[in-house]
Amino acid sequence: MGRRAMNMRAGWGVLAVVSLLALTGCGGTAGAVASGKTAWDDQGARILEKKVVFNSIGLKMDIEIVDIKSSLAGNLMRAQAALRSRDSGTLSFQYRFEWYDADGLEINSGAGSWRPLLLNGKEIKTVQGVAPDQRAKEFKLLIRQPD
Amino acid sequence: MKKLLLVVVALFLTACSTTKPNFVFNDQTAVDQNTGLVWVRNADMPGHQLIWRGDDNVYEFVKHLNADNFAGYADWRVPTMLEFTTMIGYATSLGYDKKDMKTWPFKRFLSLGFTNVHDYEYWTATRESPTEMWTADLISGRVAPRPENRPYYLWLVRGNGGR
Repeated sequence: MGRRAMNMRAGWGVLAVVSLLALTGCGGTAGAVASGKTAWDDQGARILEKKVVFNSIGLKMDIEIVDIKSSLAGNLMRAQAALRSRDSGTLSFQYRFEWYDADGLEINSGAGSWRPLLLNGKEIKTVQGVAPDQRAKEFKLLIRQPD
Repeated sequence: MKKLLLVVVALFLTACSTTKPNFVFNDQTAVDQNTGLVWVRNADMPGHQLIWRGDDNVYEFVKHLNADNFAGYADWRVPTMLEFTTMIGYATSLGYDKKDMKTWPFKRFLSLGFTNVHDYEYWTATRESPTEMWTADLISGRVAPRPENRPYYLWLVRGNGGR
């Protein structure tokens, strides 16, 4: 095999590794994001547009987000998510809520702290958060595995 | 299809123009003896214009009014385009001259005995497109599709009126 062919093969290898890293590690924070955005249907009734994104294959194998709900506590948006462990052992996670206004701007950026969450085998637990003020129209629940 | 609908509405307006208003007024309501519909006597219950989608919108207002059992009923709703067309037909049946404000629908309704009727547009419950709803203009008497993302007044009704 010529030197040029070997160089090309090495180049493809580096590209593959970089691509893999990009896919697994650079798709945002490794973890999961469950989001709910306030919207209104054709009748004018308040609805919640839900979306779940996993950025970690490991977390996706450990945990399932089975439900996302939202209601109003007075004028404040309240969010709730039900999480189910797919594992038979005890698993440890961390979560926090982020809140956004109608224009998608974060409210109190970075103010929410990570909270611990323990899930026993196949257990379902709900986590809840309340918006810091009435501007909130969207929430994101971030879940990650502890370091 | 839209043109056909407009023609139907125009025909309906013409037909209604021969029907005179026949309301029995109560403290908070007015019963249309022609259709059986019951209208809220106050043509601006919220006290301001409302939006269709968003906080404090038409849907929320109607929900709260029904939860409060307003005037003893819990089935208040936004009138349909045809129901509002019939209402405006009553007003125009009394005569309409665009140069004479006294003949404009909102003035006619006030003189009939309704309160807080505004010289502006009112919501109907009839949707034209994903971004347009039919509204009733109480100045000109025109019932037509308008952009949904603007605030209009709300005048509530109950009953099915046989339509």
